[in-house]
Amino acid sequence: MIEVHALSKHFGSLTAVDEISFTMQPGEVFGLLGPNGAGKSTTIDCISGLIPPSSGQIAIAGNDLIRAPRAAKARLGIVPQEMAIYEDLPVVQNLRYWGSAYGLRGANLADRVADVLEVIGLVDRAHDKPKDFSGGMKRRLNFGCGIVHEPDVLLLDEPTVGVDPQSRERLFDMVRAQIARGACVLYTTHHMEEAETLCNRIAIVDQGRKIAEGTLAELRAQVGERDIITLTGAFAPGHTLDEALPEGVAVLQSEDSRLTLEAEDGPARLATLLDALSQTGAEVRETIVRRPNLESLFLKLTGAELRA
Amino acid sequence: MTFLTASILKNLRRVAAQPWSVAIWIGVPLLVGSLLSAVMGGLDGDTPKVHLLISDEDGSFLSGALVDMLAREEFGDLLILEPSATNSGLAMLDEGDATAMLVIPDGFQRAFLRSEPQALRLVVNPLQQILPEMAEELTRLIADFGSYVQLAFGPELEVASRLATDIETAGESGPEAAAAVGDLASGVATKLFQALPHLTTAPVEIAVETTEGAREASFTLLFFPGLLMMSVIFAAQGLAEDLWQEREMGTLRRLRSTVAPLVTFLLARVLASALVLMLVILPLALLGFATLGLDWASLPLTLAWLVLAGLVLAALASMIQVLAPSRKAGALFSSLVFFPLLLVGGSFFPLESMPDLLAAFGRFTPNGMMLEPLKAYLIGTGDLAGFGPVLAVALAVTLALTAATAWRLQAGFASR
Ligand SMILES: Nc1ncnc2c1ncn2[C@@H]1O[C@H](COP(=O)(O)OP(=O)(O)O)[C@@H](O)[C@H]1O
Ligand SMILES: [Mg+2]
Repeated sequence: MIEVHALSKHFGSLTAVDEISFTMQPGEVFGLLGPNGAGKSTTIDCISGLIPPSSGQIAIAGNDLIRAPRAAKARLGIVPQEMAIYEDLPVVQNLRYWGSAYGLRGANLADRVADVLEVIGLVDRAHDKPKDFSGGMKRRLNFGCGIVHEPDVLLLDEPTVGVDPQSRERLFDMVRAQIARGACVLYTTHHMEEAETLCNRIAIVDQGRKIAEGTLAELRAQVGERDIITLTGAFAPGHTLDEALPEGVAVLQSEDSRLTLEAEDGPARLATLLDALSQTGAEVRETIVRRPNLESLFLKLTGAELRA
Repeated sequence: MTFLTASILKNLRRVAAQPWSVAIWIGVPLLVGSLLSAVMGGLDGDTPKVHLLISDEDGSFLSGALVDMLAREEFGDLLILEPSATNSGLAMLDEGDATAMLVIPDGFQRAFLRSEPQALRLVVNPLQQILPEMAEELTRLIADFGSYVQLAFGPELEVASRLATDIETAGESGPEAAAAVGDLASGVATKLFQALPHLTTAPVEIAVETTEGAREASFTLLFFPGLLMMSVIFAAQGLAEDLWQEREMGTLRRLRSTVAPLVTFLLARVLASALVLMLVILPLALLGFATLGLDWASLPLTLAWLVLAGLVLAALASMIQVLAPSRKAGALFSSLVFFPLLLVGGSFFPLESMPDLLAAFGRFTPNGMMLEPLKAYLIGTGDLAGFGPVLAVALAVTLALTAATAWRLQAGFASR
């Protein structure tokens, strides 16, 4: 349904997207998981034809974006990271406008607008202006404007920013509904849990590069069965620590005030670990033990926190 | 509903959602216009006054009595009557200081007494449109009065005038006696004057003339088209600023990801702008036409021309906006360009009142260029042909600016 091959985008000397490739099939949610500045929005901008890629190819439903932009874009719906709605126009008029921008008209447009109003749960507010809406309601409208024309490929750029938990659940349902009718969704986020809950396949991106890709199970397997232990406090240098650590515990990353460790069965080893550390003169103020998840995979792959 | 229609509706609704902007586009020129009129004394809030000059070229007893009577008569607040010499009276008319002048020609008394046709001359200032009509009415009244007096009291008046002449030539007591007779005559006349509406009219010729300065516009009329243009400039600027708003809201970006052509987006802006401009100009134009008594037949062309001017200026303003690096810069650049244009292009001060060099420059500003043929048309010194060359230039410039704006939207403005 969509093929991205060796996509790169440079802004001057900065490489925002670096040789990223992936494909998406109908009925799947593909997650782009990465911290702020990883190049997620830039990737989406290239796919939606907003900015020309520096190199690489993009094809949507078999249509090359550069050579057949109109055919490619006609199958595409986007929900931008920033709200892109007319806050001084009533909800229905926003939907009609964006529907008509995709070539819908007449009874067809009216039907679709009515459908979308149901989907985004704004039937009661159809004739109100979004400027007084809550963040979640505006996000729902923002979403609605991207699906009036029932796109085959839907690009969602961090759609849950500034959204309350209830609206977020609702948004997930709306995404699942798109999947159910056979669309494929590209979903970018820096929230590990969102990717875990929603996505069939996930690519982890950092500094423009794709550093891992697979189903949730595949990615979990990459982390192994090891837990991640993060300690905050004052520690001795790494090489002295290595000797002091109990068996089955390894240093992933060591800073003056933070120590990241990898451990088999972390909770069980915690007491021994803290004991050993205090003997090196270390002072521990905070301890976090994490079960293997995408965040710990990211930590393992990049040595940095996903939400740093 | 096609995207074009949806887009036009969207633009109109968004303008309607900010009624204060529209109020300012209309209100500021209206305010300036009212202030100017107050300063010029044209519309100072009082009821308009007819300032009628009377020039007595005959210098006879009868004409003197007529002037005397009229000058003393209480006509209320509406009418000021003032005896004047013909030359200074004409000068006052040219300055716009008087509404009309009634000239009692030499030989009036002789003709009157011999029942010969008499001609009263009424010189009117054509630029004070409503008031001269009132003066004309008044003069007709006087003429009617004269005719009646002649019919009814012809012989008596002849005796009285001969008596007056005799007394005048007789010596010292002359003036007093003449005044007494004059008083008597005007006393009778006043009573008759009050009965006038009930009298039948007899023919007395009134020749209505216009002054030499007929082709020179009054100051207020000179200002009027400029004020309309001021409104157009404000609206054009405001409409263009919306491009930055669309960009900051992200709607322009989103549009770029759809299949809708940017050209359609721009075309919808032009069409919606034309409608908005029409709605902004209409009340001001109606008010101005009514106040200045302009020919209503010139209204449609005036409106159409101003809408076109608005589109030219909106195209320029849009170009400035899309070239600016930020919204603030856009607003600043726009002011930096349009404020001088407003000042120099004849929207604040008519080009006629500016130093020659500045006026020459002003004629080449887009607004000045659009303003001049319209002004000539409204004042009556120009005709339809005057619009032709400017029309061609305006269309070419609008097209070029819009194409440049479209290119700029495509090349980055809409993508960021
Ligand atoms: N138009 C641009 N010009 C220059 N740099 C940009 C531009 N857009 C994005 N960048 C840079 O590219 C990198 C990736 O940004 P972005 O794609 O927005 O990341 P994400 O969406 O993952 O947070 C960042 O370092 C950002 O500063
Ligand atoms: Mg982003």
